[in-house]
Amino acid sequence: MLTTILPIRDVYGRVLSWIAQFAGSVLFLLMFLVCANSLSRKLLNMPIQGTLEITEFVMPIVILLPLAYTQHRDGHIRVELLTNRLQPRTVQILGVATLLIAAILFAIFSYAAFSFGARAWSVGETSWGPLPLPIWPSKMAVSLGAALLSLHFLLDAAAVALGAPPGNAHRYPEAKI
Amino acid sequence: MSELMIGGLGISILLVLILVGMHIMVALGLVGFAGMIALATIGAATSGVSTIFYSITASFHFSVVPMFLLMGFFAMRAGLGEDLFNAASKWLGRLPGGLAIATTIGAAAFGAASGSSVGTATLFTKLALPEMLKHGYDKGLASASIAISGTLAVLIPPSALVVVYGILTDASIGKLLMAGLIPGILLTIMICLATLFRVMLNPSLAPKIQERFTFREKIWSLRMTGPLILIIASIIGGLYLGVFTPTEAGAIAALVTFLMAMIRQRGLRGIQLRSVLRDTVQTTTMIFAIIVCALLFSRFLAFSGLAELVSDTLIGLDVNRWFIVLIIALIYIVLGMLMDAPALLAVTLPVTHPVMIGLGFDPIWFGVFVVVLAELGAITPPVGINCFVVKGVSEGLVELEDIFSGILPYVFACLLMLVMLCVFPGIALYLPQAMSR
Repeated sequence: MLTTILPIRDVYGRVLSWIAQFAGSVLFLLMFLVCANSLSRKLLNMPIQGTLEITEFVMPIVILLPLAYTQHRDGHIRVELLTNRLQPRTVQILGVATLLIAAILFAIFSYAAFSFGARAWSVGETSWGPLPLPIWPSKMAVSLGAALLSLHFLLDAAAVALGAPPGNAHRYPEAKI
Repeated sequence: MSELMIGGLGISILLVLILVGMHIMVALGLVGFAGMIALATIGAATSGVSTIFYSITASFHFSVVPMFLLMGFFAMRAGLGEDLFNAASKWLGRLPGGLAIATTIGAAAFGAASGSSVGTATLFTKLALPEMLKHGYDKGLASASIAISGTLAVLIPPSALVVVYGILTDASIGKLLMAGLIPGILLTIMICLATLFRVMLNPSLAPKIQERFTFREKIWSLRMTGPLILIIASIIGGLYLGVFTPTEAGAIAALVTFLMAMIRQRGLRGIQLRSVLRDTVQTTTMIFAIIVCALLFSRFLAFSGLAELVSDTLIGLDVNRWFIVLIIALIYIVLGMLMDAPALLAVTLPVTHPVMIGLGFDPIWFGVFVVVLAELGAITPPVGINCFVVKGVSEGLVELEDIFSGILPYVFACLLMLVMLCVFPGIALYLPQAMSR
């Protein structure tokens, strides 16, 4: 069984990596936009219309879609001081339990955010300001990001239940603050 | 069950869940969400979740976090750490303990750009540790000076951790960033003095460097570091004068470090842009997940009235308010040994911030105080994270015992900094109060 779950998780990880790449590229472009707006406003007294709206439109997408990618890279913070000293069996049970709870919690969050986004879509909510952008894609990003994370927690729970080590933190220490 | 009891139960459950290894953001989110259901309705809880997730992320102001992180990763790729350490050791290397002092100065300047305590410690372990050991420096002195110097990154602006405090407590991000500047510089000086005194008392810790550099070589060593320091200075100046917002400052700084990395790597290929962008997104997401879940938890605590009760009780107690500050400081030092700085702030601020404000402390001042505390936690044995980083990256050059054996003078320097902040709050508050907005 473990030999089925782990490859599935790896393939899923590759998809998540594309999502993170996409989010990162959007952020990179945003960096240029914010700079251009700032310079143009200061030097030419001509702000780029809509910078604020575009930023607020893309940020939920940039931040929340990669929630699951961060989990894939073991980037969400956990305290392992205590669990390192417990029996392997206890660690496994705690690992499965906490991961399952996490999966359920984010499934609920995803569902809650979906109706939030659906409402924005049905009333055609748009941002204020000179560039009216629809709000629903950003609100739906909350739901999608949480759903992707929930699925990853579920795969992790299954992997730990079948004997994979729970979390392998410090695998990617370079990306910590 | 009374609302206060639910609040108290929530805090206890949170601590248990964190200790059994649940992801900290999940523990915060779970307790916050379940607590809101218990105190209000499911409807209130679900709408709270959706609103907080959306409103905190869809913010122009808060997009300063990924901009700072982007700058940090580009600064890493631009090799600025190498240049800074080389320049600092050419200028300062012949002082007693000169290479350790050069490490501190180099890490402070690099940390300003990178904003990452662990990242700075990692880099300087690779750069400075072999260099110091080669010159016969004591292992404890060499490794501990790196562990402490890394922490300067989160105090000296621009710093993402300070922004995290600002988001969690709804304080002015621009003012917070400015507030870290003078304490950051003072702490840098104190760390250098600690090294200097130690080596003057026991010269065998750090043999004098015999190499001499001509003035020409010294000036040439500044060719990349000079521009960097100018850029950081102009960003801080721009923030101070209100020329740009923190987000704009972050974006411009990220762009400039990107260009410096392009120059250094002679093109795009060496920057590994794709992995920089993924790493930035990963860290951004980690930070925001914690912030959003902490705000959910914080809303629950506010609902329960517990935070208010605790602060009212403490304020009503007839004890000196500095006694409470001392207790809070101890809590931070203990918890700071357990978790990374952003998680530490997220878990504690929902309780400590209202208490401190209730006691009449300035929120900006408390931000600086807490950041220094968090960094003290990062170097304090037995589990200071920066010490583990130095040991891990050194690949066997030093052991944890070496680092801990040398860390004590720096712990004292940090404690002295905290005392100075208490006695002279103006160290932190002068610049933000003098700012134009």
